[in-house]
Amino acid sequence: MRVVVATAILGLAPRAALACSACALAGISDNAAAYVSMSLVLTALPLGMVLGVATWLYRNIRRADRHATGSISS
Amino acid sequence: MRAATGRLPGPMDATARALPAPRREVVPTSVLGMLLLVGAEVMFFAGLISAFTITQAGARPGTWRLPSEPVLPAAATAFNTTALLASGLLLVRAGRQYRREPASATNTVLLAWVLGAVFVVLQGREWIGLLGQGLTIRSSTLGSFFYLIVGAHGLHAAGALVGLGVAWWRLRQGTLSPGFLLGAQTFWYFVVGVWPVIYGRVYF
Repeated sequence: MRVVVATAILGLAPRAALACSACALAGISDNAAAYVSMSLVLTALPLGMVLGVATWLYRNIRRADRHATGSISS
Repeated sequence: MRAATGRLPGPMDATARALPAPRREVVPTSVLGMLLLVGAEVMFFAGLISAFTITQAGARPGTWRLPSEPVLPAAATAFNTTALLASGLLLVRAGRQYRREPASATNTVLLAWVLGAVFVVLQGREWIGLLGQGLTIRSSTLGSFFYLIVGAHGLHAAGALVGLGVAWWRLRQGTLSPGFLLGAQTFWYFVVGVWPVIYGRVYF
């Protein structure tokens, strides 16, 4: 019964349920853009780094292959 | 195992099988290890800057300022930034010189080290001034973030200077390996590269 009442209250007044401590400022400041932009940065940054290192390694391996082929043929 | 020619395998074939395949070093191990460290460090600073940005965006008007002045000394820090960037460029040049003739890079590495040391010393001087103005790590949220982010970068810069100093010393002695120099260069480039992001985000 308590669960039903609590759910009903939260359903009727969702703004009162600021369970996320970091979201406490959501109502008094316009920091949504900061949240979104930083989420994007923190998502893209590791992926970009892994992709960058992988590309760099791939190019180095290709270059080493070309050198090896060149030295064998000459 | 029978060879494709139909003859029985002799003792030479067994030796050939026992030998490991020739290994080639595509990337120096020191550089690969340093890249893994730098990746972790980039995420560390990204986390700090993310927290800074979100907290700054949520700060009440008028609370995100120094006790005595409205902004951090960005103009004075521009000189430090120039010294650090010049140090990074000099190290790029030193790397090229080292590949041509190792001994010719000695003075360039030393100059890069001196400019890096100038940056760290001037940052320390700036901190003394800010502490004198009442900005401490506990005085405000801005102060906490400022000393945490800029201090963490300063520690990294000091650590990188130690590595660069060792590289210079070994270069002078003629015992510097290319892998060590590349590792030291990689970390210094990280220190130089992350600073403009910190400077642009924290000081303005």
